[in-house]
Amino acid sequence: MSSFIGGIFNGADKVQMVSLDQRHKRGEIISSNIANAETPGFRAQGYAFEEQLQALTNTGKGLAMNVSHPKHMKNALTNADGMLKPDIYVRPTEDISHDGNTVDMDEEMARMAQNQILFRSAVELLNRKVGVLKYAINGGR
Amino acid sequence: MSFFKSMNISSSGLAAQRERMNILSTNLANAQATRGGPDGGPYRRQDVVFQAKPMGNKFEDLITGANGSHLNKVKVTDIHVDKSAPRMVFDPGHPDANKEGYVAMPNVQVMAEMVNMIAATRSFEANATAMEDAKQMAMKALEIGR
Repeated sequence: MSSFIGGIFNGADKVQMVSLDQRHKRGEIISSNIANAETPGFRAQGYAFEEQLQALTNTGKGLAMNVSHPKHMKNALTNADGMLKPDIYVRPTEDISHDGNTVDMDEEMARMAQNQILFRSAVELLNRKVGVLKYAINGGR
Repeated sequence: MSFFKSMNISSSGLAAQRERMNILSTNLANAQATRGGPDGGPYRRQDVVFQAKPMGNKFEDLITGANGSHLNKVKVTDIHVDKSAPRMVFDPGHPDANKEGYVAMPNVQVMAEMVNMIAATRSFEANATAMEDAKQMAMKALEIGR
């Protein structure tokens, strides 16, 4: 990303972009849980990235620090490819059904709806930003 | 394409539930079939066995079988035949009746099959909703900068 573009799209926009990417991946985990809602022994998975994202934005070092070699310096909060390192975990739960499955369908549906809304809001925020840019490019017309 | 991954997962769920529905229909259709079972006797009810299948996203993962990803598709890996005893019904006029006049009927419980069918339908709907959700996300992402 050149400094010009980097200047237009500042840290806040990058947070939105990373958030879009992460919400998309969370959607995949939710789909996987729903598809396996009746698989015996399947444990529902959770996907946490908000804390990592917040920690990254608080470091002030910027989000993407791309590395192309394993010995390159990298941010402890990102993967080798400079992407955010989310936490994929087996979701702790108290109610396990008789076949060892821990997927709660209502919970997954609620999570999916929430994920969808937050994804849309991130798109909306980016669109507002682009709208402002268009306004500036057109000279306020 | 990464955006199609969740659709692939959901479609595996749809396919698995559809297969389950086929087996349940078979059970209901054969609820009175006194011949043609696995041992020549009455029909035995069948059930699907679901298994989570990790989705390898890299070529190496597919070769080494390593769990390269946390995402799981679902697959019907086995069709289990219920070995429980047939239902004995007293019907001396039936051609398949034994000496005491009892006919071995399939071990299909129509109510249980109906309940399973409702569960399959709901599960199918949930997967369809998840797929719709993934589609909406992809469509919304196409609107960025419009």
